[in-house]
Amino acid sequence: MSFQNLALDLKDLPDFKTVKLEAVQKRYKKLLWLNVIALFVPLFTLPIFGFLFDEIPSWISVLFLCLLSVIFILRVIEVEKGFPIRKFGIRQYDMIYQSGFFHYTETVVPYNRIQHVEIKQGPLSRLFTLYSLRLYTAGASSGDLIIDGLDKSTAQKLKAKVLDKTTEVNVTD
Amino acid sequence: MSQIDFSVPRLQSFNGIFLIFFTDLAKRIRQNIYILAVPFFKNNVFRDYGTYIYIGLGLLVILQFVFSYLSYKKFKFSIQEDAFHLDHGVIKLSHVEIPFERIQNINLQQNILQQVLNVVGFEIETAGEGTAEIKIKALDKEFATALKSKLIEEKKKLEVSEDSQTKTHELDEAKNEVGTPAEEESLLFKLDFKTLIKVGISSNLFRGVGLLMAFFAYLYNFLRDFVTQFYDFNLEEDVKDRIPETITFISFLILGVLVIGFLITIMTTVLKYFDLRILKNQQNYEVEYGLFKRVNKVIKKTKTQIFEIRTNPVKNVFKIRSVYVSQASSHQLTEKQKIGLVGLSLKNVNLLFSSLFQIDFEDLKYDYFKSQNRLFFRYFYRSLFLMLGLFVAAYFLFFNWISISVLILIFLLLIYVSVLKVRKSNIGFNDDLVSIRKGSIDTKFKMIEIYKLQSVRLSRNIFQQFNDHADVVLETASGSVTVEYLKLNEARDLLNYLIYKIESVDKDWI
Repeated sequence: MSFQNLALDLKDLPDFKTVKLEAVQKRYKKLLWLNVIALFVPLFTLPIFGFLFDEIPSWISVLFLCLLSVIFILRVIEVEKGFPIRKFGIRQYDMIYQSGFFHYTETVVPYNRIQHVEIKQGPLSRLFTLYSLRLYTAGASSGDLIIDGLDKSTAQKLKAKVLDKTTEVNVTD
Repeated sequence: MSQIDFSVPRLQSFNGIFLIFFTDLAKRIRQNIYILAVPFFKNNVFRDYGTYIYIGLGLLVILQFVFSYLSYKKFKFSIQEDAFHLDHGVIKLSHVEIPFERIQNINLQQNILQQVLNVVGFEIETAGEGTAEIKIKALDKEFATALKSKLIEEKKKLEVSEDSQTKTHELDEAKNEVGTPAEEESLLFKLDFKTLIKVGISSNLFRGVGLLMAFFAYLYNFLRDFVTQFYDFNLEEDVKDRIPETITFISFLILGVLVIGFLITIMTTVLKYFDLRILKNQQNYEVEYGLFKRVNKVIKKTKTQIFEIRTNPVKNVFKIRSVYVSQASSHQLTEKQKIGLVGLSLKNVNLLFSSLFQIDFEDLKYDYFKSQNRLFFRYFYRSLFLMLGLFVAAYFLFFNWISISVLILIFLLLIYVSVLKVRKSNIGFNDDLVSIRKGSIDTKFKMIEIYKLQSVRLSRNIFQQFNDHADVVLETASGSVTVEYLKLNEARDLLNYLIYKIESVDKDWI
């Protein structure tokens, strides 16, 4: 591969892979489990009720049950295997976040592209005193970065860090 | 134009009542179109309840008129010292204020109804969350242009006074950004009719065919319901019995559909892009097109995110290209929201490109990363799923050697298209730009200035994790662009490079 066109060698650039990443809170996994249970318990009761009624052919219930089980197993693998992957890292000019077992994504958001920052807490995460940090960039929401499962002090520290960077960049402009 | 006092809250043009009424009515009808199907399910509805239905409909229309009239009466706008103010809403009143500095674009447009009623639609675009966008449906043309220049004037005043406190070179830029009044506009490009026809011919004819198919499907369903309702005969059975015998009929039908689809494509293109003009307005471009619905859009240098060039073999023969410009927005841009400039020569594209980006288009050199051949399997599995569906449908509807051979033909075609897609897909990058190439028979280049990227993401599904490939997703302020199946190490290098560029270039993205 020839890079005669570029003034710099790609190999000399800072590599985002070298950054030491930090895991989210352990208890966030419990919350993920709770979410799975809250979703699948009602879904599993449906086909079981289906067996009780004669009007619904039993093959429909069996098929539904099989499909549901497959989705459930995949979801469980995603939670169990995916949890250790959920990590975030901070560099001088950007934030890195990675997640997902079946669909592994690594996102890098530079601080000077962040529009505003939000710390959120849903009803379930209040139970576990967990917070999620949302970094908004301009444009579609697909570009926003959401880090779930942080404790309060980390979330606030991260927010302060990001805000500090965004304003600092603005001042030096 | 200065004699108009904009500070008094005023209503829309009087004809606006009718415009609002008709558009609302059309909307209601579209929302409730399924009611048309009711007579097919229930016999004798009209005979039994005819008068009630007509009275009810009449009442609804009157109610709609009253509602439209009220919404016209409550819709008031004015310019105060700091912002554009708007009150609207019949039941829920709302007040919108747009500070001058947040105004990004002002668009005037006329659809066919607005042309008949001799009014223009007035749109104010903002860079923000999209909720504050303002649409005024009906204004007198002179008033609308006066309002537009007044708003631009206010914005300019504001920016000049702001900038005079800061650096001087920004002042020039700001002045240019705002756009100067109409006198200084110069016509950069005008699409003549011959080129327009060429554009129509070189457009994707499947759009027209699709429209035609949709129309036929609707007509067929409608007719079948209608006919079986009144006569005791089964259209479907009848057609099904005869089709296998008359292959010539089918081939004629297909040919006919293609020809008519082709004509429809040309016609819609001509209607849409009739008399396309590109006006240069200092740093900005104003684009105007359309026969029945005249659209006026502004391309702003700072708001431009993605510059897309599209060609295909027919366009190459005609030596024309289309350019689609995506501007910053709060949501993913649809095809329709991109600003389309069609029938441009290479020279026009050069001119447009170099004035938008200050880079000479012809001098561009890139380093390339190519999508790997494994990408083919992704497309292959997708078409496999599609074909499975079609085969199942064919099995239940008419299962014979014709349908099977047609399906196999379609499958081979899809595979061929997939191969082309994999071959075309790559990403080029240099000091300032990335250029993503996509397409199958046609070719699209999406060019983005690196400093306008918002974030970069590597995305790998479970298979890609095993075979060391990655998709690179580039987020811009007008949606995301994906490059599929790069080698993992290349994707990482690319991400590192782009992030380094975003962070080291001292330029704001807007």
